[in-house]
Formats: sequence, C-alpha cells, structure tokens
Amino acid sequence: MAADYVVETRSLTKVYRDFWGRKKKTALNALDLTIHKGEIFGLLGPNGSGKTTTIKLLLGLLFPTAGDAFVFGEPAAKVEKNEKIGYLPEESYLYRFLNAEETLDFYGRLFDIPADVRRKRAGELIEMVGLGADKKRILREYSKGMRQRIGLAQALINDPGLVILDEPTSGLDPLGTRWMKDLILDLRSKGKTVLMCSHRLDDVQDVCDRIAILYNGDLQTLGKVSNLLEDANRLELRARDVKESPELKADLEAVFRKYGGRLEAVGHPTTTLEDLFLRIVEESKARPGRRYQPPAEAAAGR
Amino acid sequence: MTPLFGILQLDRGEPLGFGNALGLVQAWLQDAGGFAFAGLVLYFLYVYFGRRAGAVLAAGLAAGPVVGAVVAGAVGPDPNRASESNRLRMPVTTWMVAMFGLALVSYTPVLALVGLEWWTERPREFLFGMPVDPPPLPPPSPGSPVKVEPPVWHWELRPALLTLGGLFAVLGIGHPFARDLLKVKGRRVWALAKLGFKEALRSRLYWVFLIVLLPFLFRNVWSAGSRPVDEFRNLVGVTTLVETVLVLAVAAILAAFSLPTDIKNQTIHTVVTKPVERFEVILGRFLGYTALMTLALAGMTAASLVFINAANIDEKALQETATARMPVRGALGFQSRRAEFEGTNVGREFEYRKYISGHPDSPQRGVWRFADVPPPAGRDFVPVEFTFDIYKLTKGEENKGAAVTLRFVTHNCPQQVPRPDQKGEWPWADPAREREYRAEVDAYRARGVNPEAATPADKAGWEAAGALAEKYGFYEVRGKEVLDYTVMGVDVPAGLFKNARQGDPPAAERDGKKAPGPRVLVYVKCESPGQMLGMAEPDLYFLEGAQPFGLNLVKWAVGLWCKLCIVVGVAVACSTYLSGVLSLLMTLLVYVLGNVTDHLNDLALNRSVGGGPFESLSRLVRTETPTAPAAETGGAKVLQAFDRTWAWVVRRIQNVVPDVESFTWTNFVSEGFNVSGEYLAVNLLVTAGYLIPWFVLAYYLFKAREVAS
Repeated sequence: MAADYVVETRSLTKVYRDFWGRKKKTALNALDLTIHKGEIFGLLGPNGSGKTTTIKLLLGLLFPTAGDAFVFGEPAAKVEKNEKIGYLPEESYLYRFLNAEETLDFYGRLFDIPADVRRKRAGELIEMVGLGADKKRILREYSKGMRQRIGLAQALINDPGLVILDEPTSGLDPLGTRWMKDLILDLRSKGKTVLMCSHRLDDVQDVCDRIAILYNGDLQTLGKVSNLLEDANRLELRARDVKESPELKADLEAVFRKYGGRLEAVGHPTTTLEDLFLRIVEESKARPGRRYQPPAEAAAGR
Repeated sequence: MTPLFGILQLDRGEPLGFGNALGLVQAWLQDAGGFAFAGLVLYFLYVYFGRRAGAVLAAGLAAGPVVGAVVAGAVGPDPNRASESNRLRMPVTTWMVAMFGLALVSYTPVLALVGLEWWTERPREFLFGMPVDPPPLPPPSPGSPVKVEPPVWHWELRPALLTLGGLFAVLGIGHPFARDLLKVKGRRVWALAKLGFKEALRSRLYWVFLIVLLPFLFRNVWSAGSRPVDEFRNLVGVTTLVETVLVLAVAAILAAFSLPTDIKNQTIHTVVTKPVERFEVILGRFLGYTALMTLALAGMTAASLVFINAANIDEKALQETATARMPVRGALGFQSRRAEFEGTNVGREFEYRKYISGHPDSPQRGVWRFADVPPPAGRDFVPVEFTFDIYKLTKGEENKGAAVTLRFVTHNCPQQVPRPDQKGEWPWADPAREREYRAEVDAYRARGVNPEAATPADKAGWEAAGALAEKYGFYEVRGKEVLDYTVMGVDVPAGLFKNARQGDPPAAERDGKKAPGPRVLVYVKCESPGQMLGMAEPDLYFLEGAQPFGLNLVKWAVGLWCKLCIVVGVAVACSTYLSGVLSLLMTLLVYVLGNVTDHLNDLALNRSVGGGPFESLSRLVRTETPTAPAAETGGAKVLQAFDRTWAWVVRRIQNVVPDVESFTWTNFVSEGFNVSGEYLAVNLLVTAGYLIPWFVLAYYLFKAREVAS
C-alpha cells in the first residue's frame, strides 16, 4: 500500500443475511477505493447505496463478507488504528445523561492522552463548537444541532489524522452548515484527511476534493469534483459592467459563429440560496432592527 | 408431582474450606475444560467454514466425523478466511492448535473407555493395572439424607485424563483471550465503569434501595405468631431476604439491559470506534455495576445493622442468636452393646436425627469425637453448647425436660462398653485409674469441695474439677435438664483440654483412610425413662469464642456480594449476544437453577426414589408408589433410557449452574454462628472460577458480533 493512502479498500463486499444465513441484500459490492492523505473525500449516493456501510466497515463496526479494508495501512479490524481516527456518526449517538464536559472527558479517557492535555483540548473544543455557555447542561436538553456540534467535538478529541463524518450537516441550520463546511476545510488545511458522506450534494460540492458515487452497492464513478463537474462541450464567459442588450447578444452570436460555436444564453448569474441567506443574516447582525421592506408599490398602498 | 423433580433431603455437612481447594480446581478443570474443548471445536469450525460451520457440525454430530469431514470438503472453507481483518478478528494460533491436539490426545482414551464400557455393558474398574474411577458412593437409603461429598483431588485414570484434557482445552481457548487481556488499560476500563455508575445515579436508582426499610416499618405483619425466642432470627431472616432480592434484582436488570440498550441506541458506535478492546467494554460494564451495587449493598447492610440493633428484641432471643459463635465441631457416632448400633429411627419421615433410648441403665450413647479441640490457654473453662430433640414415648414429668449426662473424656482416658452383666454405666478401660479418680474425688468431698457439681462461679470446686480433668482427662456433668429444641450449654474445665493435648491419640480410620484420632470424646446419655434423645452431628460443639453479630452480618454480605458478582457477570455475558429481555431471563434461569442444585444433582445422577421424570410420570399415571420395584417390561426400559438421557442433559446444565446455596450464610447469621473467613475465601475462589468461563464466552461472542448490523 502506498504511503500516502490513508484509506484503502480491496474488493470490499458486504452482504447482509438473516438469522438463517439467507442473503437479504448486497449492501456493498467489491469496492476498490483509495483515499489520499490530506484530501476531503465524499461518498455520495441515494439511500441504501452503501455509503454508511462502507464507513462502518472501515471502522470495524461491521465485518466484510469478502475483501478487506485498511486504514493507515492497518486492517480495519485492528483496534489500535482507532487512535488516529475521529468519527461523527449520522445521528449524534452520545450518552444523554452526560453533559458536554463529561462527554469529552469520557471519550478522551478512551485514548492515550495525558490528563492535562485532555482537559485543555476538551475546553478548546467546547469553545470551538460554540457550546461554552451550555457545557454543564446534560445532552438530553440539547437541540439536534447542539448534539451534532458536541458529536463533532468528541470526534476531534484525539486530534485525529482521519476524520470520518457521516452526514455531518444533518440537523444543522444554514449557519451551522457553513460553520461545519468551514471547519472541514480547516481540517484539510491542517493536513487531516476527511471522509464524509452526505445526501446534500451542494455541501459535498463545496468542500470535497474527490468523490465516489455509489448506487445499489456498486461504485458508479470516482474522481476529482472539478473534473467530474466540468462540461467540456460548453464555454462560460463572465463580464462585469456590461448592460444586457439585443445588440450585445447579436455581436456575441456572430463571434461564436465565427469559431464554429453557438450562443446558448446571455443573462445575469444568480447566487446560491445559501449565500443569500448568509448575507442577510450578516446584515441583520450588523444592523439591529433591520426589517423586511416591501417593494415601493406595496408601500404606497397600490 | 414431587417425584418428577426428585425427592431429596440433603446433608451438606461443613461448608467447603481450604482442604477442598484442590478438589475444586480439579472439578473446575474438568467442567470448564469440557466446555472449552467444545468451544474450540465450534471456534475452529466457525473460523474455517464461516456460516457453513453449522452444516459441517450437524453432519459430524449426526453421522460421525468422517461424514462431517466429507461435508466440510464439499462446502469448502470460508472465502474470506484469508483476509487480514478476519484473521486478526478470529485468530488461530499455533498454541491453540497444539493445545487442542493435546486435549484431543487426553480425551481420546476416555472416549475409548466409554465406548468399551458401552460395548461390553459393564464398567471397567481397572485398566493397565490402574484404577479407572474413584470408589463409588454408597447408594442412599430412602428417607435418609444424601450426603454431599466435598470435592477432593482424584488420581484415578478417568478423572486424571479428564483433568489433563480440560487443562489443555482451557489453555487453548484462553490464548487469544489472555493475549487481548494484556492490552486492557485500566484507564479505559475505569472510564467505562464510571459511565455505567453515572448512568444509574443520574436515573436516581438509589431510591429503590430504600425498600430495605420496609421490613422494619411492617414488622408486626411478618413477626406475628412467632415465638419471642425466634424474634431475632425472623428479623435477620426477613431483612437479609429483602436485601438479597433488592440487590440481585436491580443488578440483574441493570446488567442485562445495559449493553443491548447501548447497541440499540447506537451509543456503542462512538465507543468501539475508539481504541477500545471489546473486552474492555464488558469488563467496564461488569466493574461499574458491581461497584455500584457493592455500594448499595454496603449501605443497606449498614442500615439493616442499625435498625436490627435499634429493634426491641426479647432478651433470650438476643442471647441465643445475636452473636457469632465460633464452634469446634466433632464427628457423631452411636455406640451401645450392639456393635452395629447406629441410633434409633423413631419413624420420622426425615431421618436427620438419630435417637438414643432414655433410662438410667441404658448403655446407648451418642458419641462426638473431636480431632481438634479449642486451645485451653488463658481460660478456666470451655463452654459446650447443644440442642437436642426430645421424642417422648411417655408423657414424662409436666414442665420438665429430659435429664442428660454428658461425659467428656480425652484420648488418655478411654472408656469401655459395659458388659451385659453390668448396668448401663460405661466403665473406664483402666479400672485402677478409675478407682484412683474416685478416691481423689472422695478426698475432695471430705474437704467440703465437690468437683463433680462445681461451676466456674464456685472457685474452689472449679479448681478441683480442673485439676482432676487435667490429671485424668475426665469430666462429667450428670443429670443436666435438657429442653426440647433449645440451645443449652455446660462449661468444661480447661484442664481437660490441657490433658487432651498431652500425647498423640491413636490414628483412626475414616472412609478407608488414616485420619488423626480424636483428642476429646463426648458421651451423651439420656437418663429419663420413656424419653428418646435425638441428635445430629451439628447439635453439639465446643465454643472456641464468639465474634460480634455485626461482623457476622458483614460476612453474610460478602456471600451475597459473590452472588451479586455472579448475577452481574452472567447478565453482562449474556447481553453480549442476546437482547436485554432474553439476557435477564437467562440470568434468572441460571440463578433459580443455582438455588436448586441439590435437586439438579439428584436428577443428574438419576438416583431419585421412584426413578427419573419419565419413570415417575409413568408411576403417577399408573398410581404406583415410588418405592415399588420398577417393572421389567420393554416400555419401562425405554422410559429408563429416556431418564438416563435426561440425566445426561441435566449433568451438562448442572455444569453451568452456580451453587448459589454455598454462598448463603443467612442461617449462620440468624442462628448466631460465625461465618469463617476460610469459607468466604473459598466463596471468592469459586466465584472467580465460575466467572472466568463466562467472561471467555462473552469475549468471543462480543468480538464476533457486528454491533452495527
């Protein structure tokens, strides 16, 4: 296995069976995959496509029916490999009778981290996930988003080399989603490898370097996001400070005809709903008392 | 329906002590080793054939190993056996294979022996000049208690080979377990233990334990109708019962549902994806709940002690039971002119006690022989206590007990059975010595001192009694009034025990083996005509000393703590594979069966009066008495074969059931007898021995379990 492979699967297969050993479903079929050090890798696919099964096989929560999986060059069944892994499950399955501090202390004790480092890191992580004010409340009283945040904190308590995130933005509001995506990018900048799976394609597109698309347990496609999304048959031009007009359109059509192409559309680009939402929230923070202003006609009562 | 479950009265004798440790270890190696060998077979099959192991095993069991091997060849090995993860998860080490081979070599002669016995239809007593089995136990006579033989080490061929095979099998199956055990980190186990502890505290479980106060609130309800002298016994009995039920029920529920809930809620995912060995999760749960329940047990015992001490109890009851006597016990035998006299059966259904006839001329004696005696140093007397049953043939005197003579002699003062021409008085073996003794007593009397009627309060008389006892090794209490089923006592001069320590008594023969002879013998005679005096071995003892009742209650709690460990261990082990409800039911089943091990033993040996369950059912249907001889028909033989098969099944079940009774010290505490530290040490040893196989099972089950499937 190459040194910079953090994750490698070889013909990884998982077949679920019933009590009598009869085959129920092939959840994953001969998956061959490698994830390099320092990249953000996204697993995509509809429900039941094998994303979570892949993650659980890598973590040793499930055992492969055939093939094998390696993390940091170690077989997935080896417990010691978990020293370098942080895992955020799809739902934040934590002990709800503990508070945030106790939660991080408990998970921290499971690693070989000196007590003073563990305490310091727990404090930093609680602040990082924005739960400083709520650290004494038991998790039962937390909202779903707060639980997701403390879940992420427990995944980072050991300063892992590989962070596995199963639906990391699940339950988060747009602000939380952006925060999570920024954090994922930050992890990459610190040299960590991130493996995430998500239904939210925009999230994956925003942060992932490479993706794999699974369908019905089979790997359908694999590659760099930029390469996969590129449409080589089309050309995009962007211009600033030019007014849209029939003359402009006619001129452009003439230029493209000259080069053997065809103009498809001329218009203003749109931003994403997420960007619009975040801009409005930022403005609201900056200008307390800001309210929605209806169009001028409505204001005039017409 | 009783015959279906066997009629059994059991005489357990003394609790197990250090002398039984080797026997216990051998029994453990045989039992645990047998399961370990079966476990190794299943493990190898599972490792090599995966889910097809069931088919291979079924073929092997149904049609023999050759067919099993053919089926194994046909289904082929598990395709994913070669993967590194699988080999890491289910390792097969050279050590395991070697130990399996050695176990197989040890077990094969035993199997061959069984085959030979089956073929020739007779058991082999010797093979190659070596005894095959220990001497068989004598069959119990109907109605008499079955003596439970304490475990001892056997060197005969069959037990030796089974022990050796068991040892190899345990070493084989324990290898991956022991290897992973070295990876266990106290820090992680502590964190996991604390988690279970915290969960129980946060759910405010401690309120449940206040139920222990209920017996004190409603004392009138359960104490109504009991004799004042039994007041303390009842109080202790009810309190300990409530405490036992509370501790064990809560522990079983907590431990049985803990892991399954973790798996169901998927909280286990965030734990096992950390560098946590699966066994650490098991150990953490076990230690967490055990620690929690230990605190609860300590709290409840302390509260019980406070309330028991504060309770207003009859003074006589307090004297009789609110203590912890340290008895020195002897062996009981019966003697009369007839050599084969073994005490009289008065026709009671349960022949626990045997009786001697009462009359001044009766030669019948109950004789206790004490190989060990209390140290006489630093005291004037040693108390002896006794409780006898009086069976009245005539009404006797109103409001008076039976007159009993107790003669204490040492090995230096042997007694003789009276000749037929003599009356019932037993003479000394050395008549000159007896005359000398009588002369000395008379000399004392002449000086106004009566050593034969002295008590420790009478200083001069007691000194004379002590001097005579030390000189002659003889002391007698004549005509002591004894009440029916009442704890009574007399004091014996310390001088007698000084005499007993002089010289060595001739060795005695016990169960065909040389044993130390008795240093002191106590001859009990009933003087009252028309009365029969009933006695059993525990009815008379020397009192070495006494300890405070509170300490004894704490020792009782240690026995309960062992049961607690067993319940938590079994529940946690079951919950690694079963759901919470099934784990709880399984734990309850094991515990309940553990309370009826005596009956299981009876069924396992197929020695119930009236036969096993199938024969007994047939007798019930045909309204036959259990003691009627079994019919010689073909149908009866088939039923007996079923009973033998059933007994085989029960023997297997018996091997996984703990002997709960051996951890129960309630009778000791409520009757005021000290629970020896030696008994508790054996309790702890047995608990550890019982839990180890469960932990090994839990280790394999949890390691093989996909917690996310």
